[in-house]
Amino acid sequence: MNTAANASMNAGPIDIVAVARRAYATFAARPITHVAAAAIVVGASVLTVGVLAGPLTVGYLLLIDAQLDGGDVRLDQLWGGFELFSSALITWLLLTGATLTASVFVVLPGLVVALLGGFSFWFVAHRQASPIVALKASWSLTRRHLGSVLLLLVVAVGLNFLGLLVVIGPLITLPLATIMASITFRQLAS
Amino acid sequence: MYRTMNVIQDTFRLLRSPRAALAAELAAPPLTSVFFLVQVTPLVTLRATAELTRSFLMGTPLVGFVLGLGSFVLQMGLWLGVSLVLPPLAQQFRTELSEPQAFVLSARSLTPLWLVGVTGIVPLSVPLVMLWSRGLVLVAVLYGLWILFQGFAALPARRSLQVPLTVATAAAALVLHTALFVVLGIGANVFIFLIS
Repeated sequence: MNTAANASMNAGPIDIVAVARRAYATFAARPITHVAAAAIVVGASVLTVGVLAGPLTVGYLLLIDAQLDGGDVRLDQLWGGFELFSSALITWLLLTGATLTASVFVVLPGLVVALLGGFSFWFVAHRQASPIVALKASWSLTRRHLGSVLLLLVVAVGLNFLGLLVVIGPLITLPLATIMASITFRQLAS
Repeated sequence: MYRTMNVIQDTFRLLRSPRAALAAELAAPPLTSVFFLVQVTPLVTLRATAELTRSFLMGTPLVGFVLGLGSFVLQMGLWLGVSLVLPPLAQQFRTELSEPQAFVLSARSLTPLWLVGVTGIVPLSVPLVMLWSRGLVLVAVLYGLWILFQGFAALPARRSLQVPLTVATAAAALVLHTALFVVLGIGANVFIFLIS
């Protein structure tokens, strides 16, 4: 059923409504796991000043991937990102550094860099790519599907704006947005 | 001078009769780079210039420079973002829209908002003035949405999907504007803090 769902969404440009529906179904199947995972990723990233942001993000992407493939989903899959610790950390450092540097030129270039490099963690998680390869692959993928990726970003940001209206809302909207991005990545990168 | 007259004539034609003006432009959209230089840039700089002028008159040139530059980047970023999002968003509503058409349509629907930017020269310290300025912006936004709706009708998009597509585009533009406003606002405050 998961293979068929992937196949039907792989043809042509992304259907954002179908992506949103599948993301919600994925989240709703294991809401506690996703909320807990998102809380751990955000909390640990803040406490370690971003050192664990990359590895935990990769771990969460692996957890989402396992669920999308119909496999077993456990919170301890989050630590799977530590097997790719150096790649994830260096990718995070390079992306953050590039974004901040580009932001010096009146912010907008920084946003462009962040958008183009946004899928690099997915390449680290799913293709075990090295940091430079992951960033280049993300750049290439996003440039080929710029409109679709920007549409996904707008929906994700809008979702999180709505989540901010409720104090704990981001605990739900952040994992939802991440699952949507994972589904979109599978479709665009296939 | 010739290009300035072109921009003025095109703008008047658009505001008088948006459907007719857009039908012609969307049927044969101009080269995006030329359109950006000749049509978009002069209109986007209106608010930036107004805010810079106001700040110079009030004796705060640095603040004016930061506000003007931020305003320019915000408007330009909004136009680019909406233009890039429009084609895939239109596809969700079974409407085909090329990138050159998207750049034209988003620019034309933002034109009223850009024009109202000249009111940036007026200080907003008096509440009535502020109310008048914000009211103008609201009218400009609503007329911009009307132009957008006329553009979809001129494409043509399916009749039953024109309103939902217009609403979805407006929502996307609102999200983009809010996100850019927050990020640029933080950037501007950091810059002013570092300079002072």
